[in-house]
Amino acid sequence: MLKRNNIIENYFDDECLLLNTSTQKTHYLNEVATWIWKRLDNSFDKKKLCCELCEEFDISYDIALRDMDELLLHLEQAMVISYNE
Amino acid sequence: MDNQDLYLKKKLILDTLKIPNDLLVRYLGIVHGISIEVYLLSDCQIPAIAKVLPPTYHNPHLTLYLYDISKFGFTLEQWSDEASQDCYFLSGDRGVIQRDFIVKKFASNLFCTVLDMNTEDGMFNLLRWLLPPFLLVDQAAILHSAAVLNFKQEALLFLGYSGYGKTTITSLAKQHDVLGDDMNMVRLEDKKRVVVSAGGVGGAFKPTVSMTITFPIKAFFWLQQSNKNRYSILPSAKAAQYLLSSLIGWQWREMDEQLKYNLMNWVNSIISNVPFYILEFKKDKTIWDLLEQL
Repeated sequence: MLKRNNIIENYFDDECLLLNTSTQKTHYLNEVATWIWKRLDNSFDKKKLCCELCEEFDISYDIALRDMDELLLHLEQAMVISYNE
Repeated sequence: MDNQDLYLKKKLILDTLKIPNDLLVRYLGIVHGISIEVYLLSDCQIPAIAKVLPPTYHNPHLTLYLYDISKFGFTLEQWSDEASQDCYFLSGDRGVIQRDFIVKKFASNLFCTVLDMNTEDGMFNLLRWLLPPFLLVDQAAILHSAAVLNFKQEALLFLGYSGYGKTTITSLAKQHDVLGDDMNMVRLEDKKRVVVSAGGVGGAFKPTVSMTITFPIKAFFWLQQSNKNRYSILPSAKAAQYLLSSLIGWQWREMDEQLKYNLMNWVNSIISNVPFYILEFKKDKTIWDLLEQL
């Protein structure tokens, strides 16, 4: 998992705005999405991160997994992250 | 772009453009504080340019070589025979092909353009592409927006994509002064005062307010047509998103890191100094009763 290098991150308290300079599209991340975004790197471990997300936001594992899958799918389709670079 | 043949013709002109040696008439004009040195084919072209760029004696920020489309054998109908208004950017920040102009960039402050000099639209569209980096040095940017004064002479800025209601909310503001209904220039003064003046950069609307006066911006609104009137404050990240999507003339992929930083910094400064709301409104004048209470 890699964050693409053409992304500008703009943080506001617990939220974040991502700008993909190639597509000129912006992506608003709420508090949960921003928390996940900050932890995406090469050592990404989905199960481990979901467990941490449950603790951080006091939510069930199923909800954490669903939120994470939705976010990752969106970011991949928006060419913000990549699994194969 | 539907007319592929026309696009190829324009691209061929653009590719073969060099710094001209046949444009010998020099004219110095100014728009929103940016002085432009224009080189033309003949004196009789000056009045058309002066309508958009009033004369000045300031040192030029940039140089523009300007050909009329007739030089290349086009009539206006032939030149703008495209359904699309899209802008095509050549890679490497080398130039632009658009419905009403093409422009080639030779240096950061040296350009050659071809457009119809008998209509103002082409020149204004060119300026919206040309000016942003120069305006940003002066902490200003062009926003796709409508700007209307409330009764306290504060400006309300309405943002939204085409069709979201900028023209509608402007037309409902019968008792109010309208500064611009489409393209407005917003400036950050002294790092905290955000202002706008009448006139903007082009458009059919002619303001009744003097273009030399600046007005403080009371609030930004992202428009949403609805069956009720109400507004709510937006979180900063969302406000930045809407402000970024309203900026005119920027191509992020062609910008160097410093320029990206400066522009993002400008956006953050604007939203930290002016409240940004989402505004649901119905299409009648009652929305202005609500806005006057803000």
